[in-house]
Amino acid sequence: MSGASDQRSSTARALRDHLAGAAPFAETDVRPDGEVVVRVPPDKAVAAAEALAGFQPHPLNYLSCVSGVDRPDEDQIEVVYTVHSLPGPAKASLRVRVDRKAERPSLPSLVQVWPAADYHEREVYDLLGVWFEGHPDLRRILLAETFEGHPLRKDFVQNRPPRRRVTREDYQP
Amino acid sequence: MELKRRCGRGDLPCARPEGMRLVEKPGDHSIPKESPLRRVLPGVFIANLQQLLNWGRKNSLWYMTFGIACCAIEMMATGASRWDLDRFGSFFRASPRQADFMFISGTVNEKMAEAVKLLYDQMAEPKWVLAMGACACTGGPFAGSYNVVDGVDKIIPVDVYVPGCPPRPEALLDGLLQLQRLVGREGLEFVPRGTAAGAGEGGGRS
Ligand code: SF4
Repeated sequence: MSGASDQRSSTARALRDHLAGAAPFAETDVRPDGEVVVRVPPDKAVAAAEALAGFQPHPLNYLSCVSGVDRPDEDQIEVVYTVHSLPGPAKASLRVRVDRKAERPSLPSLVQVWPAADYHEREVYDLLGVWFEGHPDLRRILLAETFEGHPLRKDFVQNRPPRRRVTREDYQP
Repeated sequence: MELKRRCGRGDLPCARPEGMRLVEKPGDHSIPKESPLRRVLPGVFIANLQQLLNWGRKNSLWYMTFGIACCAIEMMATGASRWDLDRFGSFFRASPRQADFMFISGTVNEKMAEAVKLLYDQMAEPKWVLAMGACACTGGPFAGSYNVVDGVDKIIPVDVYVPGCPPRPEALLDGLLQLQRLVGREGLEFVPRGTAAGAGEGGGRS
């Protein structure tokens, strides 16, 4: 085993031990590449995020991506926060699930822990319709404000409103 | 049209618009012998104003710095030194007020459509639009998708369509030459777009 991967797996183990103390409710899992998968219920998401951000000596302070995954077979939407550490090799993905059948599936926003989550959460809201409680400015980001529905949900195509053709009249000054 | 004829002054080759007459040799029967014009020969052009205006316009078509999607990369390549749109008198202008025409270079989605329409409205008449690529012509690979305008002619009038995904620079140059031909045929009397003659089927005025 090379030194780099040694360091990655020892960091991953240290992170898992850290989480066992700081966030005992979290379900953790280490993947072969050293990524620690952290699954938490929605009401514990902020606490888990703070535990990740407080990991020493490699605080997970760099949020590189927030993805939304629609899982219609499990009736859930999973939001995945991929975080890295700028000072060291630690990386983790924080996964929170929410019931997709709810009228307004909502999760706590993690903007207070990772400010970079701002635009990413807006994107997940825009495309999958997950409402982030406590987000400072939750609006659509990619689609027009007038758009109806959330197009990345797997059932969007069956449920979408009849398509209205855009015509020149829509864009008169 | 570039002519190989010589101007009266020195050896400079001169460009002259189609239909213009170059009065250069005695015995040229377009000007009567007794006309005072004869006294300032050579170096006098006689043309009608419409042709002169169109000639000027079509050889200085400035386009707007505005790229939307992947086609914009190809447009930039066409503008850069290898294919060099400049040699046709076309330059990027950074403001819609200074632009004569606009390449719609890419996928226009419904949110972008408002910006496209706004920029088009800000351009001074006369103005032309060249739709570049399958997306701008018809929606291309994204036709019928939830957020894409199926062809920019749904929102603004288009004069020249250049198909391709993306069109090669050569195709775009050909599109520009077609646009020049179109501009060369403009009438002097000016009909703004969106009014009776210009509105409707998305075609040009000619
Ligand atoms: S026509 Fe092709 S290259 Fe051009 S914007 Fe559309 S997808 Fe991109």
